[in-house]
Amino acid sequence: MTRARRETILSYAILILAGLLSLFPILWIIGISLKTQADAFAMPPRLIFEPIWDHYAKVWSDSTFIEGFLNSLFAAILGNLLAFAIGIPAAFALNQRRVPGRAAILAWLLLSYMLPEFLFIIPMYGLFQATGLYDTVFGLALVYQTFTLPFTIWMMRAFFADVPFALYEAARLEGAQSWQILFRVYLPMALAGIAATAILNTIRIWNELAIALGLTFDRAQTVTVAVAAYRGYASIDWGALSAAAITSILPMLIFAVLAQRQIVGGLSLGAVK
Amino acid sequence: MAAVEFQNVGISFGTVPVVRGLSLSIQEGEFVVLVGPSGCGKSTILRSIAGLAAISSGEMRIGGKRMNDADPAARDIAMVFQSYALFPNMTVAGNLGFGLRIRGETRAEIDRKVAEVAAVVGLSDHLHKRPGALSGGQRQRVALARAILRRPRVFLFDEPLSNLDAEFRTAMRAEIVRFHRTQGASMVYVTHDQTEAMTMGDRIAVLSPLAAGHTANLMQYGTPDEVYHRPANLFVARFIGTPRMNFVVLPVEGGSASYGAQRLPLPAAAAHLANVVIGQRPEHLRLVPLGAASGLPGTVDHVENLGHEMILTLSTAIGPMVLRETRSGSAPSLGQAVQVTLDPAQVHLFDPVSEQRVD
Repeated sequence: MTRARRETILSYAILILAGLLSLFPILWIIGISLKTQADAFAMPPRLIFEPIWDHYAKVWSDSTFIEGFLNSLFAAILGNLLAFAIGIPAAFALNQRRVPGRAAILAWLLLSYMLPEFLFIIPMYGLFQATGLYDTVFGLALVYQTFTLPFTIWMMRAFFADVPFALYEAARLEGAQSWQILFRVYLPMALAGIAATAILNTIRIWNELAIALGLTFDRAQTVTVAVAAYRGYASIDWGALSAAAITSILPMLIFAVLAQRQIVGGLSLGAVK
Repeated sequence: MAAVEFQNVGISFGTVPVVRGLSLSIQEGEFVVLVGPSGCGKSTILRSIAGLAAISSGEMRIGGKRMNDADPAARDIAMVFQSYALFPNMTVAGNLGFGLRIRGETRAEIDRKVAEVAAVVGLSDHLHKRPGALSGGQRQRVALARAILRRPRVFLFDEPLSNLDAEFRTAMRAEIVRFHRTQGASMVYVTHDQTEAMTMGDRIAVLSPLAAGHTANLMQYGTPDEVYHRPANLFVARFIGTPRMNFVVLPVEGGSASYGAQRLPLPAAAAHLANVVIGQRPEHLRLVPLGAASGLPGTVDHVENLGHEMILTLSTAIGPMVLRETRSGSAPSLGQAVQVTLDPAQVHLFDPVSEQRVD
């Protein structure tokens, strides 16, 4: 066996091992979601068993879970709409040739993106109670802006920076105003960037638990809160909890597979240049 | 009335001056080339005409009207960018019609004008394609057509041929010159290539970087013949012409200088200098038989055979000399001892201190 071939085999072995390690928890949860309570807790673990669909049937007919699922969907859509409505013009402005204090503004945005989510909950709780935003999907989407908006501005600015500035100048010479240049030149050229940013925003909103837990009660509960609800006071419904968890990751999984190229493009942005 | 006029214009980027004391007038219908090495401000000057670079002092007029702060779209100019700046997300027709759409013309009117200009530049078959599917030359034509559609008073070109290969560049050069003849509009053309400058311009503005220690950028403004045959200073003499002009610094003794055994009587203006820079173009140096009474002895150091002529580099006691020898008769070979003379009628004299031409 040649050296190169040995190295290939070794690297595949490491990758397969790493893949198994990271997939193991998910595989285990899928296992629990398809097992009876007795099978799930059998020692040693039963690798071969009769799958049952009772837990999924229970979760899919649970109105709290379905509502949570829909609330998350709305929060993600609304959160993205808000982030792009403000983030695209902001990124366009920050991408101009001479922006006073651009570095400081970008650093500040990054800072707010890095703040822990818990930080928002206590002040926002009071504010939301007073303004009637508490336990509403719109309120939730508003809070999600604190991290999706800076991220959107960062990403869109990077994509806009890839558009040659001469195009802006050529459009200016043709008499186009800034907003016309944004909509007719920059946005069509940054479509892949918008897709990547929207996907990453959605994943972040979809997986968010802390804020949803603090700022919703029963009307605007999100899917992550609904999953956690199967962990009751007295007992934990492991089967339903696992089925709900698997159901909740499905949309993002499908999303990620379909948009794999955009996500990789978005994540590796700036890495090649 | 001048098409474009600069009066004592200065342009700075932040605190760094890029252009200083520029006074230049471009006549109606004239083709002016701005040429100079990197950093000489040629593109900045062009961009200031377009309104893409802000003028910090002085005055710039287009068609007699002060345009220092006018909106780029209101300046009656069109620009062809180095990168062509075509919108990659639009078809050729979309690119050409962009400005018309912005100005709110009707669909039928846009289609008619786009078809008309596409026929002029030979793009009728490519209107549905995106710029990515076009060759470099076709993209160049789209950029040109977009400029024509504006029917401007002044066309601006920012190194439009630098992205093309050498063979195609020559063809496009001729095409742009023909285009200028048929359009009759004024054109300002930026290049760092002196061949383009010499072959295309009615007049050439030779520019130097301020960083080189000059107080103003404009070194000389004249026809190609003036710039080539009467360079105003050492900078222009060095920059224009390939191979470069030969320079030697010689002491002035009794109103003349000695080039080897050749006495060069100097004009009154040069006779009082301590030293004088003598410049001579390679085609004006002549080989004379060895042992002739006049001339400078040397040996052939390097030979470049271009087929129709040879470029000889000689090493002499006062430095290397480059000589252009048309291939008639026998050419000297490497290492051969030779003797050269200057053509006194074709000598350029410069003051070594001020670097200005003396006549």
